[in-house]
Amino acid sequence: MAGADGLSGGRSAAVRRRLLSWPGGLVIGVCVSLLAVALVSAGGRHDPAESGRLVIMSGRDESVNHQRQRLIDSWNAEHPDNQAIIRSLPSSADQQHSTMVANAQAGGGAVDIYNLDITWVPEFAAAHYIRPLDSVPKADFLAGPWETGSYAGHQYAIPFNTDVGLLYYRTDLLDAKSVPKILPPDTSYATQLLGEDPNLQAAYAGQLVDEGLTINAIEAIRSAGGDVVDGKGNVVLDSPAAGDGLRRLARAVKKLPGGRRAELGGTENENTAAFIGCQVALMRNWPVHYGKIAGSAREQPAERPCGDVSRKFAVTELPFPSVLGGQDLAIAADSTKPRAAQQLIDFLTAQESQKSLFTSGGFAPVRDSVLNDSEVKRGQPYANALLAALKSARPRPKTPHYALFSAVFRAAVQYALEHDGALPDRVVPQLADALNGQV
Amino acid sequence: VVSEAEIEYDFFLVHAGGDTRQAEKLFDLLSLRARVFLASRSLLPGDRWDGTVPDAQRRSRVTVVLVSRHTDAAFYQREEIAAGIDQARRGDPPGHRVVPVYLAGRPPTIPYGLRALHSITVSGKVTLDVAATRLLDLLEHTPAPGGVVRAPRPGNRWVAVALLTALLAGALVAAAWPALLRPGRGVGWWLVVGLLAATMVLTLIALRDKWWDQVRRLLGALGQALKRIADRVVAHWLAGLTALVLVAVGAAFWLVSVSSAAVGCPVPTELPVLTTADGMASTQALAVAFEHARTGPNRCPTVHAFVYSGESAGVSTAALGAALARSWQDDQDISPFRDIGPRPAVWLPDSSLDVDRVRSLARQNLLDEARQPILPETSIAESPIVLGLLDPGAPAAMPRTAALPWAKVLQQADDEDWSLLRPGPDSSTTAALATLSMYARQVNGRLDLSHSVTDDRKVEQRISASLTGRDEHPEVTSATLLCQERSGAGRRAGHRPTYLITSEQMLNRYYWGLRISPDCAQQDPLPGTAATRIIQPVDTFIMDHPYVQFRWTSDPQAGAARDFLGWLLGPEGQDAVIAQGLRPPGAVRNPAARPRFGDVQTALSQYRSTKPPADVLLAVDGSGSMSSPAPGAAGTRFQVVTQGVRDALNQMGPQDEFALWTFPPRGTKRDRELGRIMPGGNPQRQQLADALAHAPPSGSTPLYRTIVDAVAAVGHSTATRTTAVVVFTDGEDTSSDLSAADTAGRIRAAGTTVYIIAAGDANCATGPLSVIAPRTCYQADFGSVDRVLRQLFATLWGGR
Repeated sequence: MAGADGLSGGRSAAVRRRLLSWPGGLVIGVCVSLLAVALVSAGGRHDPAESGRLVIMSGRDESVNHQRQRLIDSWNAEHPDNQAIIRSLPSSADQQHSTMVANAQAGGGAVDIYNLDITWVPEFAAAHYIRPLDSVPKADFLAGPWETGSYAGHQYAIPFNTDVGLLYYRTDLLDAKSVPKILPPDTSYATQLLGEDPNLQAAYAGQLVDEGLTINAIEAIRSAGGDVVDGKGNVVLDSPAAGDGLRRLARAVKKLPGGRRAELGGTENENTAAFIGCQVALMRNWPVHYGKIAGSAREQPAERPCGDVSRKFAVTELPFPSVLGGQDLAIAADSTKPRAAQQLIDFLTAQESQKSLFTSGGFAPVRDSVLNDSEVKRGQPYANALLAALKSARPRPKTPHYALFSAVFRAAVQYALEHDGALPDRVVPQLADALNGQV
Repeated sequence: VVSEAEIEYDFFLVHAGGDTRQAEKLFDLLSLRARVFLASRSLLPGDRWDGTVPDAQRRSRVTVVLVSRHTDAAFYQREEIAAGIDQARRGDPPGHRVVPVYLAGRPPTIPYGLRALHSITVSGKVTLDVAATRLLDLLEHTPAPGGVVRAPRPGNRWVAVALLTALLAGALVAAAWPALLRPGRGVGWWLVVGLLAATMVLTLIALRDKWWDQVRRLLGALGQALKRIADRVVAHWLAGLTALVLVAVGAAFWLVSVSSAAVGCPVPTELPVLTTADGMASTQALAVAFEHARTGPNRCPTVHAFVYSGESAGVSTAALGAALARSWQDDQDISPFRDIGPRPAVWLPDSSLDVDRVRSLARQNLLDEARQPILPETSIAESPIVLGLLDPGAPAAMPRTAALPWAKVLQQADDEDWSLLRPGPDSSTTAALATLSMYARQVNGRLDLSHSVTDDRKVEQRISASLTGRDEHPEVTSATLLCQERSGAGRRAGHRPTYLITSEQMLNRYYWGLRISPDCAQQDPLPGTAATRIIQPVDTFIMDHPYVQFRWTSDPQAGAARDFLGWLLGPEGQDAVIAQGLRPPGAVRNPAARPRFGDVQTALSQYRSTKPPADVLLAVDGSGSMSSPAPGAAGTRFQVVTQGVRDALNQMGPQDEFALWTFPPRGTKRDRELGRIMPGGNPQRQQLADALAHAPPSGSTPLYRTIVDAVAAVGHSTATRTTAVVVFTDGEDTSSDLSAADTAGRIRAAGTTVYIIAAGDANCATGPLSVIAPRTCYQADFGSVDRVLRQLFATLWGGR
């Protein structure tokens, strides 16, 4: 056996050789990159927050008593180096969207946090207008709202407040068992209900204006067992079930004999006024309207045809998965204070903040612990219905081109309302194109 | 003698034809760390055996001889063994040595010259891998010329592999967390960049000699490495499997991230386009045409133009100009981002007079020319101020070519008792310029506004009489008036012809059946041609439709704004401009001097002096709901409105009269009135506001009864006194003894105008309020109610 003696370089040389071989290079390369990423991520978590003013761009704060501003005031009192301001935008969603997109495209770091409608998160994430927030733990955020902030496998936004459709009903006309199992109710159900009270102008009130039309049409289709876009991203609006839902919606808004309707299709506030004013027996609306109805006792209800509605109404979840709404907070990609911004987001979405936004401002919370809080349940009797509705709610199609998709879909629904539920030609390929941003 | 610098190979492999497979395996093992020559791998087609092979051996550091039972019969191998021994003996190159590697034990016959050399025997535990390792160790211990032990040669491959891996990982990171690698991330970002840069520098240093050869070898080595990954997994299954898993997971992750992120079209450039209320419909049409023109072959729009106006948001032209002059910053009255919309990248006012105003205001803000927010503007279209006959089917009283000045046309209107309509002078620049056109005289090419106000008052009285009964706000816009005509809601005063004084563009849109405003339906064109219905006074003024860009706009919006301008001025854009009722720039022949902004101010001042004093009754909702917190404002709803009333009272002119009611009444009907201010009673204003502040909200909302009683209390308007009722409510009627339709009928019969400011649950668009005050109901929220009150009272008050 020749060779071993005299040619052996020793153990250390062998180790060095292995390190300097190509697998060693591979391992070193991977380690270097992982180390770099780990350091970058760790830097975001552990470096001190940058000082300077934080700007939140958000739609106008229409909460009762400026509850959001009060939260910001609390933050400011504790963070003199990171005073926060809300850059308020108009109430119009289109105005908000244009302002935020234009600001993000222009860059410059003028805004640190965007308060995004949940349907805009994919657009802002895909265009890299906002930063990933993968380091934020899900903790007890509700699954549905939490998911609205994710895109392409990353968490880009943290839910700030959520929204889900609830079914309000008059307890002097209906009980929990007799509320309809489909919405809008069919004409026979509506006719029977209208016969119960001559003051009713319609059996049911939904929102059929602007984005409300998109939401209520999707829910009507889901109520009939159909959908607009399936789980694989295919447009399935031409299914028989979707056709049934649209046909029922089209017939519901038509006048019945006697001039009344199965469905009144106003704005959210108009429908609430109609519900308080005894004009409808059922209403699909957002949770924030609970407080408005409950507080309507101040307005001399005895003079209304049906008296004080605030004492005879109840809320339950919709008989099918509601469309999920709400707003998410995200850090602008060009913010120069991302760590401070994340601290502010942590504060705004913390349990205590969510609790005060819900109990004092009427904003539906995004944390499970708030909705299960016994004190909250005592003050907000509809918390259980809200929690159940949130757990079953489903989002609208998730696409960076949601605004275009919604506009095309609304035009198709408007056509269907005028043509007994029939859809315009080529609507399926048009919607498929719109999901990709194509016109 | 081959010098050190001429050495090309570390190992020259010598073998018999029957040992080719093992020779190639050894070649592969050695090639990972050293430069190796093996004829079957290193020769290229066409290379000469008799030249290339001996030359390679001469330029090698070590001749490795694979000895086996095949060696005896291998002629060429024996020659190469002899050559190697000769090189070692001669020291060519210096330090050259021959290493026998016995395959499967020593053969019975050992070639000449090898017997005395220390060897490696492959058998049992000593595999070819081990043999290769020992040969590589030999390299590290080979004495360099001069007897110095050479430094270890890394072979450079590890650096290259590390670099490639780092780049791959960097690409993965960039795809997965793009924002992570953007500038401005601080230490982390610089760390990543620094590591990548350092790795690249190291590689370049390592490859500085014969770099192309190194690259070729690297590529070859990578190819071989891929080929033998399976072997490696067997031989070093742990490291190999780990590497495979890492690469597979990374690649899958990258594919998912990239494919998900790249779905569909990129987000188009957002182009905020600010325009006027009258210009909304035409600008929206131009924007859609531009977007269509800029849609790529993949049907992806590259730009999205968002069109909006200040007036639509309830902000006056003056306040809008001030906001632009402040570069869209807040002041005590408005927050442009909140109250108007995005900071514009493009502004399309109707006249460059608006631009002059903003420049003037910016100078007052002490901004020098270099910091002026507005860049030089370009006219994209023109439209003269004209009179247009609204009656369907009838021609104008005089041909367009009559070449009469404004004074003569207005004289004829007087003589023939025309009904004259004009948008409120403060409603838009078009209306202000129309007012200036009517008031000014051209004297020797200059404007003269010095004539008696009496003539102006006469014209204004004619306009006021024509507006009576239309339930219109005095500051009604052209779009509202024309839309009203379209819907058949415009009421005629007998059989007199009705002319509207406005821009030719607005009238063209009316005649051609184009959309007049976004919320006014498109209709069929009117019969006949527009030209026969329009009177264009010879000394009229022209709306020059400037295209304005801003210093504050940066790319990509700035680029899109320039592109939009280029398109508008090009043939396609100009066709679109003409299709919207406008004329190309320079198309209107006009001898009139271009007015200055000061001239318009003078005309507006004269207009206000023609207004009669106003007698206004304000009824404030004091029902229980007004004690609720005001959404979007601090305090209760009632407190917010009270502050708004306090501010609005400052708009009162000395001759104006004011009464303040609250409802429901506290006791008898007379208890509704909190107080009254008579002409000249300015000191009482604050006392009245204090009285309102101390009226606690409670009870129901008898809205209709209050309106009917208020209308009766103020009486009808006369030529010398305008009357009006202003009502603020946050909800619908809950306790009146009459219906909305009855209320509307009583208002029409009263000869006065009712203005409603609706907030909270009250809604102007649908329901009873749309019946009671279809054109004079203003939707407000509690954040803007003070501004709406102030603007409304500013238009009602101040007459003399």
